[in-house]
Amino acid sequence: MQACIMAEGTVEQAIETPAAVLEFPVSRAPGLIRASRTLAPLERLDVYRGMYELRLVEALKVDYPGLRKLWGEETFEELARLYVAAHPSRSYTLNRLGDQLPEFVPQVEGLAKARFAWDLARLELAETVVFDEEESAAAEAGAIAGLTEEQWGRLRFQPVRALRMLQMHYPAHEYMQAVRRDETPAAPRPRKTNLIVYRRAHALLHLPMAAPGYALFEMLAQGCTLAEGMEAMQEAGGGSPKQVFDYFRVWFEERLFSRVEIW
Amino acid sequence: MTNRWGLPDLGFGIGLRTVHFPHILADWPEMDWFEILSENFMDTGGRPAYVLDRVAERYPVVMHGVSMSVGSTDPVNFEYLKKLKALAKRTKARWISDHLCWTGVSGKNTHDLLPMPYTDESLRHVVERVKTIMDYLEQPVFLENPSSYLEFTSSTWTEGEFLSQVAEQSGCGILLDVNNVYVSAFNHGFDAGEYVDRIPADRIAQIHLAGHTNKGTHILDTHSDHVVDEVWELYRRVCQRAGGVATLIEWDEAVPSFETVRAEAWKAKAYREGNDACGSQAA
Repeated sequence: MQACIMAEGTVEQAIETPAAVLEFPVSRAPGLIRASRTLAPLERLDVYRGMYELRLVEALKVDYPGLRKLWGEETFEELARLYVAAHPSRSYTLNRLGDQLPEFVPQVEGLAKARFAWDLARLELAETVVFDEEESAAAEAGAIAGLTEEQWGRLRFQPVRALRMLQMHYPAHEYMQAVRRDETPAAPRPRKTNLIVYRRAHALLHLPMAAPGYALFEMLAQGCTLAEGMEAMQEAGGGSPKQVFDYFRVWFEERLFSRVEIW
Repeated sequence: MTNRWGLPDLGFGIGLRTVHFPHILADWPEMDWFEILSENFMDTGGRPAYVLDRVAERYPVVMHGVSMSVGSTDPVNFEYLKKLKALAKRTKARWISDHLCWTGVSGKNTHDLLPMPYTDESLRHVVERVKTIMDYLEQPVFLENPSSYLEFTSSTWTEGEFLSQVAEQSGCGILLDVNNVYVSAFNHGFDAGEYVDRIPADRIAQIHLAGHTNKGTHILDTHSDHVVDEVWELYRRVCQRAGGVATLIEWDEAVPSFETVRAEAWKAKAYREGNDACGSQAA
């Protein structure tokens, strides 16, 4: 029954798929189900098939509103059906059904704006992950007040859990923000974008960053010391002490760190 | 007054739904209790978890799940149960319920409440699984009769008989979804009144009411509308036998305002109390 429900095509085709035949021979399938006064056995099975597809496609629609807007309902639903067939749910929760969608997008031939769609899909996945992440208490800026220069270099910063970093070829976050305003934006032109997706006061937020700041934050997120992060920042284009100060001011204001310690 | 599991009649509740979060947090409206869809809160630490914590501080909360899959032949999912148990502890959930169904096999999940063949073999299978689950959760579980759209020719029990047997032999309770009885009765052509009359009254631990969608050839359990008159009459019939049982309104599609859903809950109260304003007087 499950194989029939999950198979593509018509119900008649579904009962002939190898997976369905493994469950029961095609000739026996209709005899396993009672007819009702209005529906034949396979029509009754088809009710479940319709609901399965609808439920999973709806779940993907909720998680990927940007892709829906980009392609329109028909194309998105077609992609969603292909995706669900390739990646059936293996979890009790639908929250993570779409986790492989960003990697699936480039595999589908003929999709319009595929390169931007890949960025957009990665952003939307990051948003769903950040939305569901555990809450973690934020560190206060006072944690780094009054330190010596030598202590500064040995500082380590742990980001809050509800945070993800993205490097994109397009400013997909600007597109998403327009979608959330109920607009119908055009797909943007390519522009290298470094982005932090995070949650503050239960709201999903985007923090675009210049390359040096992103390189510094990335190193810190990997557990490196501030001194190591500063080296990476220099390689990414450098930054003045004032810029570094401004980075940390914003990062603490946005409550991006959960822990600060001297290594 | 408590039931055989020592649990109280919580009165009349509604499902806790996202669209009502702002209203609930702003006004803390009068409501006897809330039911949550367990899976919506098990893996999130964001706003839903925050709201649930606030709600659980002020109202009794009951957990209703869709993934226990008591009819599946896959091993019992203890990872799922562990999270379920933790959520129940966190929310001080009065009880946990799920459905008499299976949701998937071979590690896959259809996210649907699939019907089972009602046979002696499947009865033994479900009873053992329910006992295992209740042992792990260290509390009784209440199983709901699902709405269904097909029946197996191999079934030797009716659904009502089967569910009653599961309850008697495992010790679990029954969450009687009166709308589901009506839906399945229409789809399969059995007598809904006879079904509810034969459910052991002392095993009915909770009641669900909801609206549905009539497609002509069959009815879908969509939770998308008001409870229909025929279901209200069935509910009255159940109340006459079972007395005070916690009753919940489910509304999941095209969810209207909080006040509209709550009005359905208060209507249930009037029905249970035999109030003339809600229709014909109980005999």
